[in-house]
This record gives sequence, C-alpha cells and structure tokens, in this order.
Amino acid sequence: MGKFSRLACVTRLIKLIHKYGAPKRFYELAGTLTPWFASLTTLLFVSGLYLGLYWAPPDYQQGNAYRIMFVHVPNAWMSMMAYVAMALFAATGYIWNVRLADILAKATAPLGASFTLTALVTGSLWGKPMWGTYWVWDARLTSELVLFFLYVGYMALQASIDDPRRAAHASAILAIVGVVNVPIIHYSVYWWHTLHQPASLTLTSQPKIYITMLIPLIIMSLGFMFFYLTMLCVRTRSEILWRERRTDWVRKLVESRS
Amino acid sequence: MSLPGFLQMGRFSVFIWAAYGFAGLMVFLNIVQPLIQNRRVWERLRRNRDDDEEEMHEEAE
Repeated sequence: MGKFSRLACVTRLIKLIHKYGAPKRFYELAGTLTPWFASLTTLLFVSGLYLGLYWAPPDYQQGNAYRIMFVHVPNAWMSMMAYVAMALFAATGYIWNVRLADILAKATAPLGASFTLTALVTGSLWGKPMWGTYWVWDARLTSELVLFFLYVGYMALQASIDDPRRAAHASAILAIVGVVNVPIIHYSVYWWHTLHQPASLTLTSQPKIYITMLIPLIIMSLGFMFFYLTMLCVRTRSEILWRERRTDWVRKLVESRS
Repeated sequence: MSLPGFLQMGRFSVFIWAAYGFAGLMVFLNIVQPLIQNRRVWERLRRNRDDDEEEMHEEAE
C-alpha cells in the first residue's frame, strides 16, 4: 500500500469517527444495530447451549464438569476484552475530549464487572469438583479478582463525582493505569507455576481442544461478545439521552414520543 | 433432541447447573437493569419537559 493511500485510509477513518462520534448520530446508529445484535446474541446463545450441553461429548478425564468451560472461558475472555475496550474509550475521551468515548467507557464498566464476576464464580464452581477447592490464592485467580476490584473502583469513582466531565477524567486515569493488569492475567499461568492450567487456545498454535468441544466454545464466546455489544448500545443510548437532554434533538425526540 | 439425551443432562452435577444458573442470572440482570434505567431516563425527560412547559405558561401569564 502506497504512502498516499495509507494517508487516505487514515483520513477516511478520522472522518468516520467524527461522523459517528457525534452523540446524535451514534444514538441513531445504536438504535438500528441493537435489534440485529440482540437477534444474533439469542441465536448464538441458543445454538451454543444446545451444542455445549447436549452435542459435545463428555471429557475422558473431567466427565461432564468440563461443560462449565462454555460459560467460564467466554466470560473470562470478555472480562479482559471489555477492560481493554474501557481503557481505550477512557483514553480517547481523556486525550481528545470525545464525549461519546466517555459515555462508552462508563457503559462498559458494569458489563465488564459482570463478566469478571461470572468468570470468578463459574471458575470456582469448576474448581471444587476438579481441584477440591473453590478458591486458592493462585496468580490467575488473584489477578482476575484484582480486575473485578478495578471495575468496581472505576464505577465507584464515576458515581462519587457529580460533574460528568470531571468524573470521566478522574476515572479514565484509573482505567488507563489498571490496564497493566490485563497482560498480568494473561501471562500469569506462564510466569508463575499456578494451579490454573495454561491457555488451551492461542492465536499462534493448534488448539488443544477437540473440535466437538471447540465449536460450542467459539459459538458461546461470540454470543457473549454480541451480548456485550447489544447491552453497550442500550446503555449508551440512555446515557446519551440524559447527557444531551438540553439539546434540541432530544427535546424534539421527547416531544415526538410523548 | 432425543429423550435419553435430554435425561442425560439431568445427571449433570449441581456444579454445572449452579455455574449455568449464575451465568444466566447475570445475563438476565444485565438485560433488566439497563431497561429499567432507560425507562427512568424517559420518565425524567418527560417530567423535565412538563416542568419547562409549566414555567413557560407561568412566565406568559
């Protein structure tokens, strides 16, 4: 790709960000996308649950208990992905004063916290029959717990400051600093000898999971990803409405719906 | 889904159902909470609009 075409791509990307970065435009876009994302989420969850609970065979060592993986692993992945997304949104809002980015970061926090809590709870419910204990202060488990506290801290900080701009700026610093925990979670199983097993799926090597178990796992992971996108749209739309309540377009919208 | 296959799921340990139950509960709460919040936002916006209209009437009088 030539230098000029690369420049054209960047310019086009910036134009797109400006076009859809306006709260009104994003409100409309999210409204259009939400039913599509919701339908896709339902389809993926239904097929993923059918394949995971019924179609996939029992594991030769773990029996049926391994099926917890189909909710545990997607939630653990999403907990980290949502945090990275939240930190990126927060940084964009902090550096370029993009209001929409602040709103997206705020909307991501409760979703990320719920993914983290689900990963922790389902992980301990898997740990009891497999390891004989619900909890150990293992590097992976502890760093995931720290991630949960980071989400809670971010939400508490947001809630403690009345002015949305100041709240976004203060909590953005926490989100950006906290992102250092994400690689710690990911590499904890390689850096320390932990009870938690290393990753069975990586981008660079062959999967260590049999295909009949891999398919439901991928489908459930996509399901949780689209679930995140659906709820992000819903949360962002109501936050945009409230923050833009003094603008003409929201007044007109309220009048048209009254 | 065949009946024997379905019945086999009934033999899953309590840990599996607890994990799926908790994940389901979190998904449910994640759906319900923003919908309630959205409803509250609309109610407050409508109330604000009514208050503004009342103020305009008072000023006109």
